[in-house]
Parts: sequence; C-alpha cells; structure tokens
Amino acid sequence: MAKYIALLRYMVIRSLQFRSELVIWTILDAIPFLVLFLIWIGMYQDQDTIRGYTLHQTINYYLLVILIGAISDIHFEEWRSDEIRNGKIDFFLIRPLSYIHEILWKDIGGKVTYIAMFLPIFLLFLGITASLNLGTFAFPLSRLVLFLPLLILAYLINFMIGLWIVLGTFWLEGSHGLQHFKWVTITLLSGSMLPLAFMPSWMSQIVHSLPLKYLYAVPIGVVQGTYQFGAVDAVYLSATVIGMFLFSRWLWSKAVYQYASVGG
Amino acid sequence: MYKHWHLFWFFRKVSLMKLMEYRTDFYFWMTVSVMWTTFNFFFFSLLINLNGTIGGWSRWELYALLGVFTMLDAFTWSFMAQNMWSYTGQIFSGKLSGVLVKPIDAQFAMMATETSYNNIPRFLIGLAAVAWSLRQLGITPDSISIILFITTFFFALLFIYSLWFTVATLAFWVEKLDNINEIVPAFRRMWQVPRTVYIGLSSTLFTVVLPLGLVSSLPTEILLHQLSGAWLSYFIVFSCLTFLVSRVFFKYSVKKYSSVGG
Repeated sequence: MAKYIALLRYMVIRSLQFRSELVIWTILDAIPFLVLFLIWIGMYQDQDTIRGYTLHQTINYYLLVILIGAISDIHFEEWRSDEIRNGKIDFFLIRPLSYIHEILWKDIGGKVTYIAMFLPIFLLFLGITASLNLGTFAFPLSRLVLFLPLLILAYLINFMIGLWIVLGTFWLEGSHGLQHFKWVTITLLSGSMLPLAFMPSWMSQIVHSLPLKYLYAVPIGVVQGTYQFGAVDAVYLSATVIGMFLFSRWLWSKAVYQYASVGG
Repeated sequence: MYKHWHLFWFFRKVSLMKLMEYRTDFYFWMTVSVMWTTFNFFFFSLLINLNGTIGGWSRWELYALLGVFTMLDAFTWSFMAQNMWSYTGQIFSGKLSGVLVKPIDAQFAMMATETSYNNIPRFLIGLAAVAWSLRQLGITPDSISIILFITTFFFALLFIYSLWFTVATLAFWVEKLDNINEIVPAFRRMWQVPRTVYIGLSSTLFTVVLPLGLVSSLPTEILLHQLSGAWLSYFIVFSCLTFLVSRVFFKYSVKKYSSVGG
C-alpha cells in the first residue's frame, strides 16, 4: 500500500505545479452550465413546472452534475494513449508495480488536487445560485450515505471505460476518436445532459436499461429523492463493476503482448 | 498586399498536400466533427420539445441559428485553432523568433500558416440547416440579405479571431498555461444560443460589455428579416475595435519576449 500512497502523494505535488490551469479548467467547465441555467430560467418564465420539475429542482440537478463530474470524470486517455503509442511504458513493465495501478493512483492523486481547487469555486457558484434563489443542496444524511458510495462506483466505471480506450491503443493507431465517442455516449445516456423526465420515452428507456445511468441520473435521483435505489440496482451495479473489472484485466493481459518498443 | 494574398493561398496548398498525406486522419476527424454537430442539433431539439421555444425563438429559427453557429465553428476550427496552438507553443518554447525575423507581418504569418479541412462537412451541414430552416419558415433571402449576412458573418469571425488572439497573447505574460487556448473555445457555448436567452445582468454582460451573445444571433436575424441596425452597427464597431486591441496588445507584448539561442 505504501507504494500506492507514494504515487498518490507524488501526483498531488506534481499537479500542484499546474494549479493555475486547474482553476481555469474549473471555470471553463462551468460555462456550458451557466448557459444552460440561463436557458432554463427563460423556459420557466411562463410556467412553474416542466414535466414535474420546478426551476429550483432543475438548477439543483445541474449543480449536482457539475459536482459529480468534478469527482468522477477522468481525463487521462489522451496522454496515456500517447505514452503507449510512443513506446514509453517499458519502465512500468519491469517494475514491481502494475501499469494499471500506476494509472489509477496517479489519477486519484491528480483528482485530489483538482477537487481542492474545484470546491471553493463550486461553493462560490453555489452561493450565487442560492442567493438568486435558483438552487442549492439539501443533503439528508440517509441520502448522503448512499450518494458517496455511488460516487466512488461512478468514478470506477469512468476509470474502466477510460482504461479500455487507453488499452485500445495497443491495437489501434489512434484512440482519440474513441474518447470523443465516449464523451458523446456518456453525455447522451448517463443523464448528465438532461434529467430522465425531460427525455422522450424511447430515450429514457434506453438510459434506464444501461448502466451508464449510475454515472449521473441515479446518484442525482437519490439526492433529489426522485429515484428509489433498490436491490435490483445494487445487483445490477455490482455486476457491472465486477464485469468491467474482469474485462479490464483480460484486456490488459492480451494488450501487453501487442506492445513493442525501441531499445536504447 | 499581393505578397500576403499569394502566401495565404500557398499555405492553403501546403495544408492540402498534408491532408493528402494523412487521408485516414482526415476521414477520422471529419467523422468526429460530424458526430458533435449531430449531437448539438439533437440536444437542442430535445430542449425545444419541452417548451416549443428557447428565448422566444421557434424551432426552425433556432435550427437556423444552430446552422450559423455550426458554420462559424467550422471556420474557427479550420483557420484558427491550430494556428493559435502553434502561436502559444512557440511563445512558451522560445521559438517565436523564427516568425518574428521573417520579412512579413508576424501576426499574419502566425495566423495564416495552418488550415484544417476536417470541418468542411460541418460547414456544409450548417449551410444545409440554415437553408432547410429558412425553407420551413417560408423565407427566401434576397440578395441584400445575403450580402449583409456574409458581411456580418465575416465580422463575427473577426471578433472571435481577435478575442482568441488577444487571450493567446497573454501567453507572453504568464509562466506556462497550457490551457490558455481553451478559454475562447469554451465561450463558444455563449453564442450557440439566441441572444434573447440573456436577460438582466447577463444581457448587459454578454451582449454589450463583451457581445459574445451576438456572434451567431445577428447573422441569423438578418436571414430571418429581424435585423436590428443598431445592434449590427454596434457589433461591427466592437469587432473592429477588438481587432485593433489584439494588434496593439501583440506589438506591446512581443517586446517582453525573450528567445532561446541555438
């Protein structure tokens, strides 16, 4: 465990070098939501509810999307893919430390710094929306107990999808396209774009049938009290994470035989 | 002037030769750009299904706006993005001297070098969306509207370019900020929606102080025969001023530049 903590610590220190960039990312990530908030404010001007959602609930929904995204999104695909494509992972293959663990712990380290930068800005944002009577959080402890594990599982699902894209580099020339495909798919089918109630029924059914709903729609539904997380969900989510984990292991075991690098 | 004209087309030719060299890359990124464009239209169609209007704009008016946004976006990614990345990269790495010593305007040289042709389908989709939406609205633009539209479209591009170049020029003043070139693209969301979405303080901020909200809306309003002469004049003047600021700021900032030897 000590070696993983060391990796995490190293990454926290390293990412602190780029703290100005992290602050800029946080602000830039909020811009689409600012525009969305303005759109929703306009749409609610002549009605109190849209499909059962008040303006307050809708804004609250997107605030939670921002929070969940900051904690569970991953962004290592591009540079890790380049690392593999350029034959720069030999070092990791001969060390008593798995490359996958290396990716995981460094990502967590970077995330710790990002969250430390993100939270004050987010709280400021939350303060502004609350002062404008637009939206804020109500976190009953019972819901928080369920929300936190869901966040961790959402991160793991995101991590493994990202890992598949990285491992895809062992076979494919460029995996950047897969990354864009991932963004579009997750945005459409996870509930980060729209609450389930706002989707057409055919789309809502697709979202309900896929595990991507556990990234945004379900955790937010749990906090807002609009989703009852039952035993079926627990089984489905566990099976998904375990299945994804086993597939990742299998993929790595095959991928490593595809690797060739230059000497020197 | 002839020299600049000749060089501009020479650089386009070089970019085309590069495209021929990496054809798979071209098809690949073309697919990605079409995917995002489709996503944008789909997302706004879902939103408008809920209410019938966004900021008072009907479905087909909004699609026309999205078409204009898509065309602007195609130009932005084709002519600006790569050049901006190269510009800030050269500042951070100390390799800008190579451009500064050339017997040609440095700003022109940096901004005319690269072109990406991946966004041609995106432009065509935008154009088709505008044409189809106008047809659905029963509007046939006359020649004056088309000329005015092209003029406003040009000034919208000039505004985006000047703003982006000014922000990128900040690279002279900061130690190292890799995402400095992400700032203006992130603000694209601001001109993806009708300007009427901005109300109260946000209206003052995004249509007057920094008129991002006018970028796509004004050209679209010309086509929809809803032109506001005052807003159009304001935007044209603002775009020209932004361009001047970008040039002055660049000339001032470049004095701070120190290169590497070798």
